[in-house]
Parts: sequence; C-alpha cells; structure tokens
Amino acid sequence: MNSKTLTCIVVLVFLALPLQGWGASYAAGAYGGFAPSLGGDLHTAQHYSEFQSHNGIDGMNRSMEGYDTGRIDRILGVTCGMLFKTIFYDYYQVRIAMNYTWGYFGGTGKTVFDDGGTTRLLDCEYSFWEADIPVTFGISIPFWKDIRIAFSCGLAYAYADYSYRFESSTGQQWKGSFAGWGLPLVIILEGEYFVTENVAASTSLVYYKGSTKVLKDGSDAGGTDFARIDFSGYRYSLGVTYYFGSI
Amino acid sequence: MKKLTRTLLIIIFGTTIIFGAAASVSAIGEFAIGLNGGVTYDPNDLEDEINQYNLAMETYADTTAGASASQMTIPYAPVFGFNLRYQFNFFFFRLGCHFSNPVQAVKGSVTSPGGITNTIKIKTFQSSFPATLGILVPLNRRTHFYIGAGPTLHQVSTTITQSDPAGALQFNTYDPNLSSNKQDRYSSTFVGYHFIVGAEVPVHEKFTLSVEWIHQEGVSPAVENEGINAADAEVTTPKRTLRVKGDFLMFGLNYYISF
Repeated sequence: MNSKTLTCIVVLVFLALPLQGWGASYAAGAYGGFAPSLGGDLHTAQHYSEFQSHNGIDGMNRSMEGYDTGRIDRILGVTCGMLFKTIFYDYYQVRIAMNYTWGYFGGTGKTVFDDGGTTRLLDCEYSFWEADIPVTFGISIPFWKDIRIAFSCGLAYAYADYSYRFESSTGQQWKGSFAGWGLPLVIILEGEYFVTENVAASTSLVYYKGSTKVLKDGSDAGGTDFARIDFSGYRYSLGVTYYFGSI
Repeated sequence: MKKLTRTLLIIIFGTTIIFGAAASVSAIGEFAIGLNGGVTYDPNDLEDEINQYNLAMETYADTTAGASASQMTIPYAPVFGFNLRYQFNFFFFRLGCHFSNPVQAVKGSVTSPGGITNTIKIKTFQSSFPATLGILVPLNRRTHFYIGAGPTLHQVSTTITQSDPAGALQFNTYDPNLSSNKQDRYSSTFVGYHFIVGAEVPVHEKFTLSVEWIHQEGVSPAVENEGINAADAEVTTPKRTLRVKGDFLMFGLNYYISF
C-alpha cells in the first residue's frame, strides 16, 4: 500500500468523525468468506500464442486418449477483512474496508498442447492474491428491531499479484508474473442481525467490476508475456460487527 | 426497423394501459418522478477490445527496438437520467432513461522506431430506456428495498479513430480481429434486458433518496461499418455487433406526486 492510499484512508476516517453531530454512529467489524473465480480466466498473450487458448485457464483444459490429464479449475479464493463504517441521519452509510484475498483451491492440473506438431503433456500451476480497499456510500435500513440491511456502492483501490508456471513433459518451462493495481467498481449488499445491543452477526455479498492496465511479465523464463489482472467477480462473507453505542 | 417499431409500440401500449389503470386507482397507488445520477464502468462493454489493442501495442513496443506505446484506459463514465414510476402495494412499474458518455477520451498511441505515431481514440455513447416491473419490500412509508427487471431499449454508438493506421503498427497484421482503418463507426438501436436492485429512504414528506444497481445485458444484430480506410475511402466492413453488458451505480432524488 502506498502513502497516498494510506493518506486517503486517514482523511476519510477523519471526515467521518464530525458526523457524530448528525446523530452518526460508528461500527467496526471483521469477516471472512470466499471468492469464486478469483482473477477471472487469467488470460495472457502467451496462452494464445504458445498454448492455443483464447480464454485463459478455461481454454487450457484439454484431454486426449493416452495422456494422463487432470482438470484445471478456476481459482477459488479465500477472503478476510476488516471494516469501519458510519451511519448518519438514521439511514445513510459510509463504509471503508481492507480485504486480503488469496487463491485456495483450483489453479493446478495437467493438460495437453500442440508443441510444433507434437502433442505434449503440460503441468499447469496458477497463483493469485489480492489486497483491496473499497470505499462505498449507500443506504442502511433497519428492519424490525434487530435486523439491518444495507446497500452501498463505490470504488476500491485494488492491488493484485498473479503468476503462472507451466512445465512440459520435455522439461521446458514457461513462467509469467504480473503485479498491478486498478480501481474496480464495488457493489455491496449486507445484512446484520443484532445478537446484543451492540454486536451484530453480519453477512455480505460483494460484486467487483474492473481490471488493471495491460501489464508486462516480470518473470525471466519462457519469453515475455502480457496480461491484465481482472478484479471482476463476487465475494461472499460472514462476520461480526461491533457498534460503538446502541443503534 | 420493423422489429424496433413493434417493440416501441408494445412498450407505449403497455405503458398506456398500466398507467391508465393506475390512474383510476390512484387513491391506493402512488406516482413518483426521479432524477438519477451515477457512474458506470466500461460503457458498451469495450474492455476486451481495448485490451486486444493494448496487447498489440505493448507486444509491438517490446519486440521492436526503438518503438514505444501508450495504452488506452478502460473508461468510467458518468450516467444521468430520469424516471417515472407508479407503485401499487408491493409492486411498481417504472419507465426510465439514462445516458452515459465517458468524460475523458479513451486514447492510446504507438510509435514506430522511425518516429511515426499512430494515435488511437475510442468514442462511445449509450442511451437506454428501461421499462421495469418489480416488487417493493417496505419497512415504513417510502422506506423500502426494491428489485425489478424488464426490457431496455438501447441506442448505442462507438467510433474508433486512428491517426495513421499504415504508418506505425498495422493492428490487423498483429491480430486479424483488430482494425487498421482510419475510422470505424458503428451505431445501432436494439432491445436488451436489465435488472435493478435498490433502496429508498425519505428525506422530506414527498422527497426520497435512492441508491440502486442496474445490471443490463444486450447485443445488437451485426451492423455495418460507416468507416474510412487508410486510403480515405469509405468502407462498410467488417460488420460487428455492439454489446451493452454493464453495471450502473445510480443515486436518485425522487418526488411523489399527489393527485
């Protein structure tokens, strides 16, 4: 995280503090969950030029009689994070969070590819992690006396690191490594059930849409590659939120 | 064109019936008008295409000594619109329109070792007219969540301009899907669909504030190019489709009308 981002967070938190005068209440929480299809299809230029795949990891899945291949699934990520939010004028919510998401399942397998007219086995391994800071504004509506449902949207500062490593049956290797940031659009639907006056169990569904610029491969094996990192996708989380003062 | 006229007639006819019926029972239903503003990412779903041009430029700059490239960015665009809504118990019907157009030019360039620069610009515009039928989940008067879906009439235009397509990198030699024309211009009017999720709270007796997410999908039929090739001759090929898949984040100020 660079100093500019850190400054933005501090400024946002300080801007939220004077809202106390508007009957604002504050809350902080932590949560964990999962992110299907982390990084999207993970396509790079070399997927097409070397391995005949137009759509990244999806197009890499092939099988052939006599070859012991294994499916390469898209990456299922695990995510965790912390949030700080302010609710003012009863309904309006500003929410800032910090998330870390990393690949947990999928992204490895064996396929076949056409190596200059010869079919060869290829071991594939993808890895991906991402850190992001979404800032959203929206509406939080209390239902009955112990439920609150919020809908908010905004932008996130997102940084990700994506790498792959392929090795053919002849021992030849291809590696790609990409790191970059983007500002994806963020939409959050979250629900809270108050188990005490100040503590709520929370659940959220978050949608990201956006990507980085085209990035140059930072590795030194298998030729130079280019890719963009895709932040688009859904995340589902469960957590706990603590309200500083009854709401 | 016939299909479009038929669709418009169906929308107008359906609206007349619904609002006509609604007017007769206005004692138990409510009308509201709203102004909306917000933002969308990548209007007209150009991300893949921009990415292909960027890949071509970066690969060329990397493999050609002395060449350089500047990528195009995928745009955020402001969205403005208004809507008219009738709500009856737990249901609502809404007619709206919104317009989006990137404020900043989508612009990139590639320069050959000899110093010849080809600047590529993309201009795009979208106007959408969604008709939504949905349900409201109320808490108090004028405090509710809502969810709905329906058809959308889209009017879309995309223009790709290159300053010197024959001078530096010729994009179609790198990837046959890319263009090496001076200008490629496509426009179309077609019907897609959308869904809306939103929340609304009161700010005054008759005013409410809303926040909503509109997701829309739609693909035009293949349309002719109204372009100019590198030799300044008019071209009509290649034909292509236009897509409107995208997400809109909208904030709205709504006014309830009493009769």
